[in-house]
Amino acid sequence: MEPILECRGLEKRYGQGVQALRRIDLALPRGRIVGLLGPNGSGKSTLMKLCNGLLTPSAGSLYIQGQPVGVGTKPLVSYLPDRNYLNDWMRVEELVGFFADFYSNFDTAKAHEMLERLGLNPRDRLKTLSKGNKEKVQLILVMSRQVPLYLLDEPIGGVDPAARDYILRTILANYSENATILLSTHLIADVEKILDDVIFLKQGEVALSASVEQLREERGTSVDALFREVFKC
Amino acid sequence: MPWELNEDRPIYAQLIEQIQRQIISGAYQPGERLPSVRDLAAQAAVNPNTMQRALSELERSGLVFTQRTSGRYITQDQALIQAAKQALAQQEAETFLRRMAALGLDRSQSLEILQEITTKEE
Amino acid sequence: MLTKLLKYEFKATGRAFLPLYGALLALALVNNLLLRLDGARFMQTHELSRISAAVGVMAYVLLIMAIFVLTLVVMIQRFYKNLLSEEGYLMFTLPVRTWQLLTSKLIVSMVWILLSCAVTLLSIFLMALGHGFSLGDLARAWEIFCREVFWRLDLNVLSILLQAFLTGLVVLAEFILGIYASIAVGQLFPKHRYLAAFGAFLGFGVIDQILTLLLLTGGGLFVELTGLSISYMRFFNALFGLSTLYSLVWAAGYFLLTNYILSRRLNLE
Repeated sequence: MEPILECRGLEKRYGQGVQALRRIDLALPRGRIVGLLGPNGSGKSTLMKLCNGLLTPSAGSLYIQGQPVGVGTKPLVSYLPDRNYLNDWMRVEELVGFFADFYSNFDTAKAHEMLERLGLNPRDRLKTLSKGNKEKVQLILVMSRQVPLYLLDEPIGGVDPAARDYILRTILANYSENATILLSTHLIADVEKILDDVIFLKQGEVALSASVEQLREERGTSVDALFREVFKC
Repeated sequence: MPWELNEDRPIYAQLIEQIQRQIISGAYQPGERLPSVRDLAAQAAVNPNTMQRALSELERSGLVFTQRTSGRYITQDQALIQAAKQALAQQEAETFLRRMAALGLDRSQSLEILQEITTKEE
Repeated sequence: MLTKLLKYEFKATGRAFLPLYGALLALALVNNLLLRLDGARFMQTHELSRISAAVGVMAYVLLIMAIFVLTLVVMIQRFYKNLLSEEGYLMFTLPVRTWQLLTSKLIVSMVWILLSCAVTLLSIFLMALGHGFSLGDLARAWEIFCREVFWRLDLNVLSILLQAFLTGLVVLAEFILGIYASIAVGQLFPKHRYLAAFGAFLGFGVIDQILTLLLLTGGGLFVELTGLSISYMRFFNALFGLSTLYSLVWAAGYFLLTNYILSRRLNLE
């Protein structure tokens, strides 16, 4: 079957000398939850931004469901950036309306249901919410879209450990069936049990790409332990 | 019931064991319908494919069966549940004995301790 | 999709403009009253009314300045903040084309500039009404102006006004798109975004000046050498027509450049 995301010889340099990604070759199959793991500055966010066309590749190509990244691939991808990208003057319910207006695959009822479950008031303005709650609103908006590919950049980075499991459950319960999730994080122990596959990024290169169960069975070690081994300082 | 998963064993094996325990303890009643794979996976905060694999193994053992349209159910075959209980009890007892052996107690000494505790409690 | 973008763009910008417009019109009415009080001879607290009228007029002038500064600031900020900072992560992942984003920003900016002018004019009328000034006076003044300028030169009033308005619109669009293009060019130099944008703005301006000068000189020379003699109407037609065309070419160039950079060379921080 055609991979949902494919990179061929993908490279990204910033200005002179800074090589963020070098010759990345990847193909993500459908229906998998894939962890994109690596220390800070290993190129995780760069890869995600390239997949969304927010950065232009220095070399190589990128395909979503066989289409080169562009306007045609935007309806296929739901992206959670590693920063707050929502304007803060709208009310939560207005943001829901905004998403529903632009994305035909957005499920408004689901968004409201999740807001209620996470105890967020749709009448609140984003400005008045705490940092953690803003992140929850973003995650809800992103997970309320029914798409074949979710790109989640550090979805649990900013929230306290108690909320992490809750957020992971929200992700698990709400992604559309047969979709692929690519999830970047450096908090491996927390996400390890929800992953099918892992990709280790090390200084802009793929250091390892394997299935989690395979790793556990063959090497008898957790991904977290393996990560510490691969990225030993 | 909270799901407790540790890191050193394959997750699907741990899931199988925990669902078995819930069936044996009666948390899941015989004939009861199980939540969907996705819901169970979300409850346990594990990957749905892993949960799927665990349920398939349980099906193979007969403790769980699938009805084509309506989902997965716990078996009503009490003998099967009893057998699973027996097997798990056996396993626990063996673990106990292994640990006692590690402390330098042989089987009869271990048994003595057990008997002491049970008579005290009575 | 363009209509949806326009809707949200108006929503985002209207929050700032509408209250200011309201304030300006209200202040014009208040000033109208204050000036009346000041003008009334029977007032005993003469000094007080004079001061309050002066303060009112000063506040009014400041408010008009504020509105035009805001128009400029909003124009730049909506482009930079909404497209090229964090909010760009959302705007560029929407299933819309880059030209639609650009067009929505352009249209909304133009509408606010025109509205700001219209509201300012309206407020002047509101303030002046009743102070030896009426709509009838205005009509008479307009008639005199027409007689002395347009009719004397044998010009078609409606045609000239329409052409002037059209040229104004195109020049406005050129100005706004020039700012967008400068900011977009700034994006190509990640380490010196602001400096590069400013440099681009100056650079475009210089090229524009030189070209304008060349065209004007060339046109003048052409007229002189050929000994061309035309009516005033045709002269204005040619002037407006050519300057519209000239600005249109620049506007299109800016638009295409910005569109190219934002769709092919986008690198959000």
